[in-house]
Formats: sequence, C-alpha cells, structure tokens
Amino acid sequence: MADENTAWQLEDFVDSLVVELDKTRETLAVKAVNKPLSYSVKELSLDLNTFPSYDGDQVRFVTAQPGQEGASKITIHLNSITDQQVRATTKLPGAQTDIPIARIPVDKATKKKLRRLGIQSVDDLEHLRQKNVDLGQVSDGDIDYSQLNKQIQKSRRDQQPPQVKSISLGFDEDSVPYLSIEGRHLSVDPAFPPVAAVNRRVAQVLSRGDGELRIRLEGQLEVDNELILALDEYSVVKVNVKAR
Amino acid sequence: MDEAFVPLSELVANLGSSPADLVDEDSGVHTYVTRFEIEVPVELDIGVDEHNRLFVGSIPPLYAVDTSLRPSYHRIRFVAERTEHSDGR
Repeated sequence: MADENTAWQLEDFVDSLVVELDKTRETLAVKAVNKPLSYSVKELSLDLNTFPSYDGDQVRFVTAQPGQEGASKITIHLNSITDQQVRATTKLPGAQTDIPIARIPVDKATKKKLRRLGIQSVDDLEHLRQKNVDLGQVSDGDIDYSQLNKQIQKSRRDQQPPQVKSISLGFDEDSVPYLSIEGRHLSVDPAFPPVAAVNRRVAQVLSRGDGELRIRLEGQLEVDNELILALDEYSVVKVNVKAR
Repeated sequence: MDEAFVPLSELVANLGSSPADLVDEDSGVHTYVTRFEIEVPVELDIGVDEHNRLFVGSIPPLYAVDTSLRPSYHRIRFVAERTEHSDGR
C-alpha cells in the first residue's frame, strides 16, 4: 500500500473509475482488430471498504488499510448505457457564456444550498426562473433570489466589462458641443441610465449605445477636464480629457 | 502509486483476456464463450497524483499466507461479453 492514505470524494473516485473503464475498453478494442473473437466489458462493480467522514460540508472516504476493522462497505455499479440514454439523462456541457455557481460571488452557504438543489450554473438558475420556481420556498427561505440575481448580473457583466477606447469633441445640428465616448459594452444594463459628470458638474447624457455615449457640454472645456462616468451599478470610469 | 499495484484498467483488461475457442475438428464442433463474469478480491491503492487527479491502483491478493495482519480486501466484479464485428467475424 502507499504510505499516504489520502481521503477522497465519491465524485472523484467515480470519475477515475469511468476513465479506467474507458481505458480497458480501448485496450480490448485494439486487441479486437486482429482477433476473430473479442470481448467488451459491459458491467463493473466494486465493493470498497472505507471509513467515511463528514466535515459539515463534504463527505470524504478513506480506504481501509491492512489490519483495520469496522470499515463501511460502498458498492459502486457501472453499467453500459446507450448514447440515447446519455442524451436523455445528461445536461449538455455549459455554453461559453454559462457561469458555474462556484464563480458567482455569493457566500459559501448559498453555493452549498444551490448545489444540493442540483443547480450547477447560472443557466440552471435561469431555467428555474423561467419555470417560475420559487427558490426561496424550496430552500425554506434561505436563498434570497433578488440578492442572487444581482450577483448573477454582476458575474455576467464581468464577462463583458465596459471599455472606453476614445473620447472626442463633436457638435450636433444645433452646434451644441458634446463629448463622444466610444468603446465597447457602454450600455450593459438597459435598466441603468448612465450618469456623467464633467469637472464635477452633472452633465446630460444625450444618447447611449453599446459603442458610443454622447454627453452634452455646458460651457467651455478647460485645459484639463475630469470626466466621471457611471455606466452601471458596478463600474465608474474616471478619465482626464485634455483640450487642445 | 505503489509499485506492487497496477492501474485498474490493466487489471480488468488482463483478467478479461479473451478465452480461447474450443474446437473439435473431428466432430466439427466449434464452441466459444459468449459472456463471462469474474469476481475477485483486490487490494486497492487510492491516492492523488501530482496533477491532483485521483488514481486507483489494484492488485489481486498477492500471497496465500494467513497472517495476523490481514490486508483489506475489496471486491471487484465485471461482466464481459463477446462483441460482434460488423465484418461478420
């Protein structure tokens, strides 16, 4: 036996077991090329003598060592299923825009409760919301969906943060001067009207788009001008604009 | 992994080697095994490698000697079935 008897989680163990079984199938498949008869492994089961422990968060197992008695027995059965069954019982891997629950900045207890409800990603949560499932009710009020929703929005937003690329001076048809701010994702939250201040005075936002914002200029620009933009509730951009 | 152990995939592949056909040329009988099931006690070495992946090492009982300190025998069982080839073999 190895010197270190590491504790392991059931999920990791089953993953390793499946990988080992796939390797066996590959080996047997190679043998089958030159042999008139070949065999494939259809079922595999393993009885394990282990000592489980629960730390209040996860269940871990330590494999029984020589001479140790009183171990619990876990039996794991692996059966072959068809690709149709796989499709029917397995969720497709997450889309590129999907965010795993682990990456949402919510407290550990909420993540744990979500995992217990089988919610692995933001898309899972979205799916439940579309089905009008009240998470507060199924979690005995422990999950505050409005708070969670804010964090989800923030995580989504973090994937496409606003970027300012350039600022220029322009004049509209009525010769009113405006600052044109060009960039990407400048209008990330439709429910949040951008707020602008030029030289510490609130300025009117004339128009907003994902690629451009126009801010009305009251009076003359100074040599150095401070522009502060709040593009959504998570981002404040402060830019120094030099007039030439 | 302890050097006495082999990956579980090797153990199963070796235990599950194709049994030879039984051929009687005189009577013209050709018999082959369609399905077999093997169940053996195994010792396991479960640990985590340098890439943080769980490995499962296994070996059937090494010695048939009764000792005061008994190894912990786990049990593996698997079923292998004859595979039909698309080319009719």
